Amino acid sequence: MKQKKLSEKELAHLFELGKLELAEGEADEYATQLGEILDYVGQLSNLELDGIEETNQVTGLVNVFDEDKIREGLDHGEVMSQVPVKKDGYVMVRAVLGGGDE
Amino acid sequence: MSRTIVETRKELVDGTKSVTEVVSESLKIIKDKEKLNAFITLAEDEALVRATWLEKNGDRSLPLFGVPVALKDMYLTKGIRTTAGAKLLEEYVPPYSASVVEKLEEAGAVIVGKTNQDAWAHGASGENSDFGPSLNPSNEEYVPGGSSSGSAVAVAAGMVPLAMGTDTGGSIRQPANFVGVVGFKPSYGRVSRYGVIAMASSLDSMGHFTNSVEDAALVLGVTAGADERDATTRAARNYEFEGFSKKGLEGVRVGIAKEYVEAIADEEIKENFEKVKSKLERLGAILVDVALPHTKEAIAVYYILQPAEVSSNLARFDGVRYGKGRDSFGKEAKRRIVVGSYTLSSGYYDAYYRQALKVRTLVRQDFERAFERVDALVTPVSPTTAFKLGEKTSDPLAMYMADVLTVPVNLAGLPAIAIPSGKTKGGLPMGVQVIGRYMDEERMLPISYELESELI
Repeated sequence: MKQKKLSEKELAHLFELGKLELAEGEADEYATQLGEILDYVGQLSNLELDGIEETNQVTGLVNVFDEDKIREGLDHGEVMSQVPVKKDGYVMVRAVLGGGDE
Repeated sequence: MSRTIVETRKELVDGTKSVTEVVSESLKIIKDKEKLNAFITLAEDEALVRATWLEKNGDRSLPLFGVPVALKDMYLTKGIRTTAGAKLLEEYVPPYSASVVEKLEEAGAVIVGKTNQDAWAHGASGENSDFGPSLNPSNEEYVPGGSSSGSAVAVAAGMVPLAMGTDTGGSIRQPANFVGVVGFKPSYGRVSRYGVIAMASSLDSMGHFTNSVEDAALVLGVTAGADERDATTRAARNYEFEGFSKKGLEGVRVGIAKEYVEAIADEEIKENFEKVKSKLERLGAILVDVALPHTKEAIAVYYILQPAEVSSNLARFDGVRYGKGRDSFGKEAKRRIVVGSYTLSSGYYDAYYRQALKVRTLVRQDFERAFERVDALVTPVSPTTAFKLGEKTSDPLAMYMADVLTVPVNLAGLPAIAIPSGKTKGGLPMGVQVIGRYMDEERMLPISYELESELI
């Protein structure tokens, strides 16, 4: 797991996964810093951990159920007041399918 | 200068001061010390209206009647801008308040404003704030620590007797230690996270800054307990606080972990910690050497699991329903999203993420083994005192290491508190951390109170 610096291709892929834009001139700084961080945390990959359980959470709670009852939700108008682009009381989003301009 | 909640309440209940006077004083100090950059948003009008209302209609027996409180800007406040210290949420006004905020208000508190912080709670110095860094009141050339930087400063500078923070890897205890106040992180799942902007959901803990351990316990009495809106709190008991009385620590077994002592990188902290140990003995405590062998690995575990959870939690900020677009994320948020995306991606998941989950088990087991033999652990809070502004900003990994003695506690979900233990010759605060058993604040807070009384 030794790696001092991320490759340009790896970096571009990771930024895409995170839906982030890599600004021009920043690639080298990120590649070096992220390489160092991953190198440091990568020390764990060499440990022999067969048979050790994983800890995902510490509460020990399993299957927390809610009573089946109706609760009042948030005020629609207040929630919608934060939406940057809206139309007829709906949230406008970019097209997910198709090749339109919107 | 800095008054406790207990003292503030006494004046209010006596009628020595009105709520409006107390709140106005608080607002005045905040403005006089504006240079410290402790606040992002002041809620002056709301606070004064509420003060008048409380004066007329409030129940004076409420535990926080008339007490001014500052909130880290992670806590959603209905109608008051909430930014998480990030430009992305610069104009965000939440349609609801966090459960903790509701509980504080029901207990009579007056919210005076929202405090500065590292954006998204990513940082150990406050310098990652998109609203500029807060300054350490002990010496303005130094950072106050982070990520709850403004909340720490607000209490240290006497602006408010209570400020809420969030602690995911030390973000309350470390800044409390850097500015010289009490910083308390409750057990994971003891206090509701509902309505607080999520950083790393398996680690986030809602806690607070105060001027005394007694105040910290008083506030836990308000914030703790089950909340149907946060499933992790379903087994949480309320915390019943009826005041502390001094009994000493006769026969109490206190663990000292050599891995923590060895991590101290400053001679004055080392000396100070030795003094704390003799004070514990003077109180009657029995010091027991314990081993926490996975302390060093804990920071690597944390910097795998936390960014993984961050990358997931920050995925919701798409600029569609609220806030600005993802191009508004600052550099540290981007770094963490990318690290999280890396360690969760196929091909790397087993080597990084799964390994980290397993070592998290080992870290927990270290603590469990120690608590078979002791009632509490006492450790240093940070390897160093506060560092200078700009000292670590270009080296993210060095900044991460500032959390090395606070992070293991979050991985295990334990309650822990930072208490001031003196100052260096240069005038910078030092402190100690008391760590308790999971969900056993009932035991660890009285021990902390006894220790504090000997440190003052």
